[in-house]
Amino acid sequence: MSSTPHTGPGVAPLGNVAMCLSTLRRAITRPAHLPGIVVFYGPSGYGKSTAATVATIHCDAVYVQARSSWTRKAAHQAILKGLGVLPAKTVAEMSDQIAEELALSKRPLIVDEVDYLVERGTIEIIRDLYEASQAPVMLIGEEGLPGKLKRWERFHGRVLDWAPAQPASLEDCKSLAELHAVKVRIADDLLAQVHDVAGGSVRRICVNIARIEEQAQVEGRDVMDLASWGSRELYTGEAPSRRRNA
Amino acid sequence: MSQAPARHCSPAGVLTDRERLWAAMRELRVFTIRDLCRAVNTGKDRDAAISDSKAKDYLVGLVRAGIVDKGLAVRFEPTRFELINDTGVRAPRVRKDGTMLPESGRNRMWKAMQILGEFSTRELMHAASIPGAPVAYSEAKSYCGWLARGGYLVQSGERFRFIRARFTGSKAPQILRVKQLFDPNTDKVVYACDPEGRDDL
Repeated sequence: MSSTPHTGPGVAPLGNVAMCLSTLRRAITRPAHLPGIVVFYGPSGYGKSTAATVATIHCDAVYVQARSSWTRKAAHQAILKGLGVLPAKTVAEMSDQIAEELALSKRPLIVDEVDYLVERGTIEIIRDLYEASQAPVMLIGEEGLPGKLKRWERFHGRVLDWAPAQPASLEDCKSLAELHAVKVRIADDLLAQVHDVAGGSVRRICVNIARIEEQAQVEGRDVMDLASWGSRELYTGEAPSRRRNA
Repeated sequence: MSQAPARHCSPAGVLTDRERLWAAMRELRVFTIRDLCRAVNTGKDRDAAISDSKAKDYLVGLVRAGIVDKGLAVRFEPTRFELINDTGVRAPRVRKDGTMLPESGRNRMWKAMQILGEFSTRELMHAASIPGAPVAYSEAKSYCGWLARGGYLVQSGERFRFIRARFTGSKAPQILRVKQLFDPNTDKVVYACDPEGRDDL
């Protein structure tokens, strides 16, 4: 996996954003004899949605988010809605519609929360659409997705690339601070602390950056470092422990 | 390349002039400007009719972009055009010189916000920007404000949450300007223009 983010200006230069984008681009530019499905997976909070957003916008993809209530019909209707096509009546017709539109427009399809489809056994819908259109498809799901997909052998063979989302690095943490903390500068030592307690989660880093910025504004500081932050708590995502009696 | 068309797809929602022209081109495949305007202007009232010159403008861009082929000029015969590169239901956004325009900033924001779900204006701005077509912070801010008023977003502090049930379709809601002539003596709107500012490219 190349780590050089070839993202344009305006894109948060986060590792996962670059990875998601380059993975989807690999599916788009693949030679014709290679399969066109890619899988991007990882624990929640790793910034998969942000990465998916950038990939969708940059590659002009069609994005849908699967839901637990999705029947075959609902899945097709949702994809057609994303494509801006008036849905036909039957599932078979809708499947043709989607395949035709994807093939003509050459747009990639991104399906988020694929775990729902796998659990319901309706993942074959996506394979059908892929087979009929040969459009690049990106599946996004939780950590255990590759294991779950193994059950569908016909599916497994059509995957070009498996891209695991990476935990947020210290570099990511710095970029996030630059992006989000516009009113205060957070010193490197405090950022390192934020990175340590986050356990790789972009979401926790963001919560903490917001918290630090808020506190800094209350105290009227322009810069917040580890010393001035002191022993105040940082958000770790764990439920608060029982208060001990002092 | 003119494969026998299996016409399954028609676009959803209200169509702009260009989208109507595009839908007619996909239907006809081979056409003159006259054919095109006749196909588009059936059963419409006079005001909504698309003029020849508007159709011509769009065709010039499409020909230069290699999407439509312009037949050889034959004396005393109207030029025949042929759709050679059908790119799906979405009307291609071409400039007159044949270069493609990216999706509009609002469309990109509309798309980004349903994926992000929960976001700040700044995050949305970054997510919706692409090289060569950035979204301005002020534009993101005012658009989010309008969508919040329309009940598409819920605002809490600096952050917004997208209401998924309000995802009405792939086209971004548009902010229109309405000009009215108002007489304060009688407390009446005497005259109202058609709303301006619809995404009409």
